[in-house]
Amino acid sequence: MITNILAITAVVSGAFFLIVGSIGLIRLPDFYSRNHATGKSDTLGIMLVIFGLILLEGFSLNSAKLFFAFIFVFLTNPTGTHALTNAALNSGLKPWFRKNTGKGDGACTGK
Amino acid sequence: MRSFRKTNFLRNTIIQAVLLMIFWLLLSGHYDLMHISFGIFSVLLVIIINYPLRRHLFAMEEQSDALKLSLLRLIFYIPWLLWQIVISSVQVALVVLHPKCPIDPALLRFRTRLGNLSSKVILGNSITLTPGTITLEIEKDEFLVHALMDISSTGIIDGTLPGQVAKLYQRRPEQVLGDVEVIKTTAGL
Repeated sequence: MITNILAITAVVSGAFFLIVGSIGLIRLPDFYSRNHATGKSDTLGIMLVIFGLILLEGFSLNSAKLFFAFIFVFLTNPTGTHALTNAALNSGLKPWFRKNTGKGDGACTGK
Repeated sequence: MRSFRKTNFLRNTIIQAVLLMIFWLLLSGHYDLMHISFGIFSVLLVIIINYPLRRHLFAMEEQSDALKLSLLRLIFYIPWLLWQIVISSVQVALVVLHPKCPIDPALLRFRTRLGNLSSKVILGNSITLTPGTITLEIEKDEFLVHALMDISSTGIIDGTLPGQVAKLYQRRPEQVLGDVEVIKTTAGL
């Protein structure tokens, strides 16, 4: 019973962070800041979902597989984020700064 | 030296094969002759494909460096990093859902005197995972980092992150971070 509640809480909060990552992808102004949303919230979101599923599954072969997925997400997500931003930097994309817009702190728009 | 390298290489190949086989058995869950022979075939294929990659000097020379890492510190470092991921995700969630969107992006350029490649990889990955920062580029000793919010709130300038990575390699924090430069305009890039 308690494991079920814990597992459901973990999966639901994981889904919340995945949604936040998607909203950030739309709201934030430029490529680099959008990568913050996908690189961080999504890492935690996926890890929470997998953690909840491990709790539901108990100690079995399937949990071991899920645990491997957990480790690979933990290792590859930051690497992938770095690869994307590094490629953008090398191809000459300039980051967005607050000063350039002259709007002070308004809405986040890159235009 | 040469023969030492050769035996080392052979030993590593055997370790890799055994680990891959264990991984296969764990994932397949069927322990009959057919599935295990499929596994042996796959392990051989992976090792043959990986052979040119492992011949590369990078893997040979870095091997001794990677072992300098203190294992006990790593046990403390990973939970700390997991906690940092939680903090950073909550922070990003707050910024994204905030109606005014209080972001103030900046670039941060600094130097390290860490030396070996594996420690730089760990530092780069940790920067990407900790609150508000992403590693953009590593050029020899120079790191370029993108910060989403106010830079003083991130763990880089106040020295917590460099301190943790320094502890991992039993070095002083000053060796991790130096010549910090903050860029807030496109011209400064």
